[in-house]
This record gives sequence, structure tokens and C-alpha cells, in this order.
Amino acid sequence: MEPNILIPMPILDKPLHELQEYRGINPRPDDFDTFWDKSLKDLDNTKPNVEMTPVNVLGNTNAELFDLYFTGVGGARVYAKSPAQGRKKAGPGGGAIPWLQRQQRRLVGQIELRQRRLRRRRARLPRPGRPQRRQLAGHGKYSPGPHHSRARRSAGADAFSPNLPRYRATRAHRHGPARSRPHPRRRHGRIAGRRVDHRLRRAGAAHSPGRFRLPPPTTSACGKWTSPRMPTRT
Amino acid sequence: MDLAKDAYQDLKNYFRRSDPLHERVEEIFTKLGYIDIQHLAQRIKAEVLMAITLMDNICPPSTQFATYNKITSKKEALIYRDFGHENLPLFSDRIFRFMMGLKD
Repeated sequence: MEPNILIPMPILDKPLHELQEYRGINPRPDDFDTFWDKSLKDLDNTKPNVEMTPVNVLGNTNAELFDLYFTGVGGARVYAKSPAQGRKKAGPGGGAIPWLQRQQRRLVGQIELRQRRLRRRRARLPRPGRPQRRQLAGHGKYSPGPHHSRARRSAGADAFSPNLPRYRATRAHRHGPARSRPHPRRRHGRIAGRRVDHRLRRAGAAHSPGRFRLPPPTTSACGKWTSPRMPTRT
Repeated sequence: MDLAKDAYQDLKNYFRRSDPLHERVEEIFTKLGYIDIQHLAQRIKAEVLMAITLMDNICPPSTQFATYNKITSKKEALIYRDFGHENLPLFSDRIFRFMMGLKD
């Protein structure tokens, strides 16, 4: 029994048992062997004259690209592009896409600036286990001082995350938020620590220790009940 | 299976542009026979380990088997039934073992 006939697998081309006997249908040229013997012999006798010219592409520093030329069968000059891994420095000049190079330079510049700032801050901040005094050379204004916790002072530079901006006290932090004036038509407020509804107060509601009571309903000229907010003048 | 796509799309394009009625199909495929790998397989003298995938649209199984069946040297085929033109699990290990065996 053919072992693979009964296996229900997806077959895109031919059944496997046919493929195992398949030998192709493309015709073989009569002078196939002659052609390849001659071609390989010619190739052995051909000097490749390899020429590799570096190409600056997009200022990429992680790869190098070369224009590759060599001589093939029949003296034909073959051209190819050959990439290679490398750490080539980007040239100061332009590239194929100037705006992309500008973006890349800007990003690299930002990273370098951040690293430089971080190095400077670390150099300024006291190291763990060192005296935490302001008179240290290069001590920063916002470095851990006596008013900081012991843990933060002993942590030194490690207490600051390099990814966060340095804490800088603003006026609101020092003095608290500015106190706003109450809205003249505010609804709720406090009188002697007790919450009152100012709209009811304005409408004449009586204040009692337990709860607020609405004023007794008044009758308007047309005989209907009116809102206690708008008491009828008598 | 439509083989006239992906890697073989150019054949279809060529006939559509240059020989719509396929009047020179024998001549064209005979020319292509000079660079057909299946005809070069008989020149292989070394031992061969070959992975064959049955779901491959790029290198259809018939083209792989046509070449493999014409290899006359010692050979072994690993058949991946559910895989196409992609990374094949365990094949790297098999290659390593195969090459270590050749060393002995």
C-alpha cells in the first residue's frame, strides 16, 4: 500500500505518490552538456576584475552598501548591489533623501543631548555613600539636601529618574493654590460649618438646626402656587 | 493550483505580450531548459539533504520533486506537508546533524 495516499493533507500541485515519481516536463536542450561545459570553462578562464565602490545610502551607519562590478561569461560586465554589515559613519554631506537625513540627525542629536545632560547631572549629584553637603563641588541647586528624606539623600543620583524632568517648585507648590472668590450665584455654601443652599436662603427659607424648610407657599394674583424662589411681594 | 504567479508570473506576462497564442512555446521552454535546475541535478556528486514543502507557491512541489528525482547521488528528502516557502522548524537541526555526519 502506498503510505501517503490515504493521508488527507492539502495538496496544491499533484498527489504525493505522483510527485515521488515526477521527473519534469520541460524539454532538455540537445546541447545542454556542451553548453555548460563550455560556459564553465569560459568562466574559469575569465578574470572577474571585481570592483567594489562604497555608496552612501540614507546615512545609514549600521550597514554599508557597495556598487559591485565583475566580469562574467562572455566578457559581460555584471553590476550588482552588495550590502554588508558595518558601522560606517554617516558622511557630512547629503544623501538620497535629505529630509530623512535631517530627521535622523535631529534624533541622534536629541539622544546625545539627553545623554550629555544625564552625565552632567550624575556628575553633579552626590554618589551613594558620599557626604550629602551643599559645599560639594558641582552640587546642584535641586540636589538632595537636608530637607529631603534620609532615603533620598543616601540614594544620591539614583533617586532621580533620568526619564523624568527635574522637579522644580512653582509658586502653586510653595504657597498652595490661589483661593478663588465664591461665585455670587453659588448654590451651596457653609454657614458656621453647616452646608446651606444659598438659593433657598435668598428665597427666604428658614434655617433650622435640623433641616432646611421651605417658606410657606404664597398665592399670586392669579391664584396659582408660585415658586418659593420668587416670593410674591405683598 | 495556479502556477503562473509569484515566481512564474513573468512567464505568463511574457506570453501575453510576445506570444499570446503560444505558437513558440516549445522553442521558449527549450531555451529556458539551459538554466533549468532539474537538468543540472545530474551533475551533483555530493550527498544531498533536501527539504520539500507541499504548500509552496513560490517553488511548487512538482518543481522540487522534478529536481530531487533526478539527483543520482546519495540523497534524502524531508517532506513538510503543511509548510510553504518559509522557515522550516527542525530543519536547521537536521542540517547540523547532516553536516556533522559528513564530517565523519
